[in-house]
Amino acid sequence: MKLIFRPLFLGIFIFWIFFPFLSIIIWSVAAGWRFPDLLPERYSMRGYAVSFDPNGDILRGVITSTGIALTVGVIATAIGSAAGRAIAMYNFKMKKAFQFLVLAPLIVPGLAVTMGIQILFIKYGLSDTVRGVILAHLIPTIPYVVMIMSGTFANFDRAYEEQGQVLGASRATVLRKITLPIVLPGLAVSFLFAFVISWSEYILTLLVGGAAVKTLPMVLFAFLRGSDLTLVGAASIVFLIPPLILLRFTSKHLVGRSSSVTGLGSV
Amino acid sequence: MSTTKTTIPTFPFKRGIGASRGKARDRKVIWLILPTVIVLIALFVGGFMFGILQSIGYFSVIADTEQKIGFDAYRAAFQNETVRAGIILTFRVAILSTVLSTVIALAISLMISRTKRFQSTLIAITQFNIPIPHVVAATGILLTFSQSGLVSRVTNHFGLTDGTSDFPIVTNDPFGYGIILSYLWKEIPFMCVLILSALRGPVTSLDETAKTLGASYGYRLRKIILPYIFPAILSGTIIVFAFSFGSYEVPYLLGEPFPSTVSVVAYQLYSDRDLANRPTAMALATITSVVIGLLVYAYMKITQQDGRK
Repeated sequence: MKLIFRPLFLGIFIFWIFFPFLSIIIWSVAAGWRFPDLLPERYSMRGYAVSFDPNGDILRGVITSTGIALTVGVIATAIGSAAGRAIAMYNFKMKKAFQFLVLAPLIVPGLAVTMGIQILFIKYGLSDTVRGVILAHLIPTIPYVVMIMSGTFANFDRAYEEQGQVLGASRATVLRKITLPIVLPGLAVSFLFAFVISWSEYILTLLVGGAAVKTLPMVLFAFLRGSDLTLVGAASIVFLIPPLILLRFTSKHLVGRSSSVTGLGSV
Repeated sequence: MSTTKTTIPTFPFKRGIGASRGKARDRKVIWLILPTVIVLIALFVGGFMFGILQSIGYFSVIADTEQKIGFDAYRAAFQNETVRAGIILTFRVAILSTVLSTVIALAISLMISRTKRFQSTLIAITQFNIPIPHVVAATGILLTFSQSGLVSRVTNHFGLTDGTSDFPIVTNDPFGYGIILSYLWKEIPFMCVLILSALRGPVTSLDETAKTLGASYGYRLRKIILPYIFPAILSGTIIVFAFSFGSYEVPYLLGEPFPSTVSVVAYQLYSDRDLANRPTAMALATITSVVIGLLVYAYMKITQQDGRK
């Protein structure tokens, strides 16, 4: 009894994870899929042809989203890593207040904050611009980076940096040759989270970017309002490939002996 | 906010390097935290404050009406039928999503940690949908569990249901099953990653030692493993609860127009052609933030007390 239970439960879990993907994949290559049919009668690559049309909304959405998510990923990782180091390795005045400030965006809905700031964005010409969208995306991404990096720096041995300094290396050299290589796994996971959060963000982009900044989530939402499920499927596949590629390169740091996610466990 | 104190690795015997380090450290910290402080104060605190100010009548977008400062918007928010219906749905969705994802993720993580064969494959599978956008998750749930979705086709094929209308309505339903399913699909793996990385920490050697000394799995689970992974579970539940309470995309795609969650109602009021509804939207957003904040605070107080016993 006990022997069957665990494989059964895990089997259901695996099935549950992959079943929704299966629906999306089948729809993306279906040339219509009437109800009682278990599988479509005919298949077509129309969804992907539309997706990769150079003048189509999807490909342009991919380009816009990639640009925004890469920028957000780099800025959030740079800014947040410094703060993560401060939390893990230094004691300073108002540290508790600072930690509270960093964690609050995880609790307060992004929608609430962005609705409030919209009026300022309009005033300073940030509304309907890519710059404005990037700024808005920093709010939900920075906390994740700070948490992951404070976890990473908590295991960081200062002595390595001191050795370098004693041996005459400049600050820049110490950072480049010693610090960065040691915390690289944490940086990779931070970038993954920041990129993926920005890449997936819908409501903040809608509020700040309006109709002017068309990221991939906006395009997919527009398709979902229509009835062309083949397009919905293909756009969804295009949408989830870049995050999966990133995961491929960072997954070994996600749950490992020196896991980088442990920082998330210390809210 | 922090329940665990971060220990600072210091090496007293190396203090000789750089005599003035004490002060230099403090000055350096400012440069480390300054960018984050600027961005979060300007955007996050600023946005929150401006939301409150707009909810009590400042910065009215309607130019020709006289500005009226007060709590009318809050009254309007509580009197709104859609809001009232939305509050119940929001709590139900957030609580069920959090509890179910925590319990299931804990069970799965413990099972994976006890599995010897295929362990790394199983871990890879739990990670697989972490980076999947919520919009895609909602799409997948819609295409799978709607009345004409993949599950309905399968049950129809095997004669378990008869046609689309015989399949239970679990997407765009009044209870919120679809929304909960979508959150579970995303958050169970998220919780698993948190718990699994905690399980792979120093607890493994403690557990090994106890095992060698003859402690049963049930005993080790209660006395060693669960207390050790408790902080990770705690953080996970807070993140999942706050997210499922305030998120917009999933309830918009998988919910009904009425009742819909508070976040969806807030955005509807905000984007309404009638600009008089904006302060109500801001009031609703402020209330939501405060409620989540208070609940998280209470939860942390309660769990901290439990932890000390």
